[in-house]
Amino acid sequence: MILIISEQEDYSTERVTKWLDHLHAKYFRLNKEDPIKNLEITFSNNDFSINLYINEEWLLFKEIHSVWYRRGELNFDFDLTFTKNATDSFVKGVQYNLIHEELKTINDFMEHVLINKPSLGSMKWKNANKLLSLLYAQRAELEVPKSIISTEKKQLKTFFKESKKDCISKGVQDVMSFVSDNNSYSYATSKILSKDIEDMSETFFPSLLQHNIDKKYEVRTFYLNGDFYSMAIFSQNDEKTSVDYRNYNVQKPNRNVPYLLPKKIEDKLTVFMNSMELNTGSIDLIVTNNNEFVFLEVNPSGQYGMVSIPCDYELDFKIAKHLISLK
Amino acid sequence: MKYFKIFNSCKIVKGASQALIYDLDRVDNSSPIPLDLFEILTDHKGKSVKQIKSFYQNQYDSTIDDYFRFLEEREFIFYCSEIEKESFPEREFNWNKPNKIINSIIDFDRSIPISEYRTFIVDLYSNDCQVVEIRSFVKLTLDEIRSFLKHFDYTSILTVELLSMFNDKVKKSEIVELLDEFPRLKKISFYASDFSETNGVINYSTNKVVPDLDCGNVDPKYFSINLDTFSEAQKHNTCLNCKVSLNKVGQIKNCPSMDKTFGDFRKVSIQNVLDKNEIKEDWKISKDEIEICKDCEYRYACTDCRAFTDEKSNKYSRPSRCNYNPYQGLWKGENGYVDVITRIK
Repeated sequence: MILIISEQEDYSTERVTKWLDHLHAKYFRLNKEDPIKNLEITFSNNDFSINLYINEEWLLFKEIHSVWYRRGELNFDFDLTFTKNATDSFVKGVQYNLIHEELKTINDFMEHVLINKPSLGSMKWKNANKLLSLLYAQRAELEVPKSIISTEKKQLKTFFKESKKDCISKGVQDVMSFVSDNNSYSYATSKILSKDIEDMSETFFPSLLQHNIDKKYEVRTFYLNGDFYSMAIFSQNDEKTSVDYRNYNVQKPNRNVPYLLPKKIEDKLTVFMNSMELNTGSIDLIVTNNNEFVFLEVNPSGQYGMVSIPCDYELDFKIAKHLISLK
Repeated sequence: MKYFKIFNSCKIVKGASQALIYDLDRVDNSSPIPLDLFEILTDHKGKSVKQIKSFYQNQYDSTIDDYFRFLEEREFIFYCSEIEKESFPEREFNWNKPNKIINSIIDFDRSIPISEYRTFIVDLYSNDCQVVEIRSFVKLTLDEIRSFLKHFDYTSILTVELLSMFNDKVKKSEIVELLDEFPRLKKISFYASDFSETNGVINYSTNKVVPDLDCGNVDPKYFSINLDTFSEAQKHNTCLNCKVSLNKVGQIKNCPSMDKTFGDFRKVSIQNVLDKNEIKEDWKISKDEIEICKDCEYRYACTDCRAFTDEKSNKYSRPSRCNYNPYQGLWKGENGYVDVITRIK
């Protein structure tokens, strides 16, 4: 049986499971929204077993032959009840130790067991570290944007000058999104003006600046176990998307076309993915006007539908077949 | 040297008198083009403008310049350098879905109680159906509409559309509430109404229609220019493919207006019907195979109709409710239009 760890709303998971049905493959979909109500871990006679009770069904780890870690995490749902006269600090202390430490140990153990099964995607990289991926990309001899993270105005100013006053800022991670007072906030890459730097105080929260790279087009490639499925995004024809194609223009969507990366770049990316211990992920690159390839980032559980559909790569089907073939 | 490439989402389809650029990203940007531009874009694919000009012995330079200005302005093409020439492969247009069926029409005239349709709707759902249209020959009451829609609760059917004879007892405000209550209900239309009004979601028309007879019309307003239809139309019939319907007396059919029936839904399951494959016979009749349609530039945007055709005995006969003459590039009513059948005779 294939275990799929995902989120309820994830459309890609929905499509892949439809194909698994079509191919008569057995799977268990575990969403982060599905509470784990009961669990059993037993050790006996050189053997062990893990069983989880979810949605009125037992999931037996023994039956899992492969894992697709799409996104999300295990969701333990255990309540602690306290006697009425328990003090706040007692409750806090017990909660911290039981919920955080005991459950964390159980969670880590299960993740460890799952990570060691044949898998696509890995729980190990639940939170992909952007800085680490830049480091590994550099080691794989890929070009990366000149970047600085600093807390001092003076340093940023120097860096800004070096860039010929052409910089962009972005978060060191990009999973932030929240709603406050009916406005929704999320990270987007944006251009920095001299004024922005002048307006900053002398010291501030660690901030990332990058040289803006003149681009001909962007490339997003979906990496699936050694194969590359790439797409060129012509974001330069549109003011709105020229800095970050994710500032989508709904009326006039960017042109997206199937693309083949040069073999040399694919080889370097393979080295990079291997060093990151990733067997799947969405990689963003920039192609400059001088035909240089600059690595931006990898998202281990990125949306690949936006590559699959315009390029007719049928990735849902390919993922389903890959999951079945995992041994 | 810069070589032109057509963006993959811009597909050029040749018709008898003109070609059409389908802009699958930006529908409204789609545009008819003359056949000589079609020739440049296909026979001289991937060349530089200079090479094309010299191919025509530099006799049409200004026309070619005009053409390329048009193509650039509308963003149908881009240019690439020598080293990038092999970097932009053409995409394929496959259409593979894991769904056993995708859409369904249920015709209703009160001869079967609404409660009995629950089993069919659950059956549709378990065969991955996404879109269901309910067409009523009678004036549905609000309670009837509600009972029908309740059948869709707890299914993964995404969209329900409803067509009914106008009932003056059903108020518009009640319909608005209904849309809120049943998010699957995306469109509700009434015919034989005493007024006409439309906003795309709630529609009233004064036309007196008979749902299973007044279907199969071909008109630009029914064209859909998009990636899904375009891909499907390459090798499938965009009306009949993955469709399992019911006529008003509960007979399972591909389309309710067609003759062949596959049994009463209260006696046979959809799976049973699908296993026999007979219902799938017309699913793969593509526009490329249909007479006259195969010469029409709109063929991958048009919904075909196999129920009402010029010649009943001919599987590939033209849909008779089409008012376009692709050999002239003219619609009925336009100056000089000749009925396409007259021309052939």
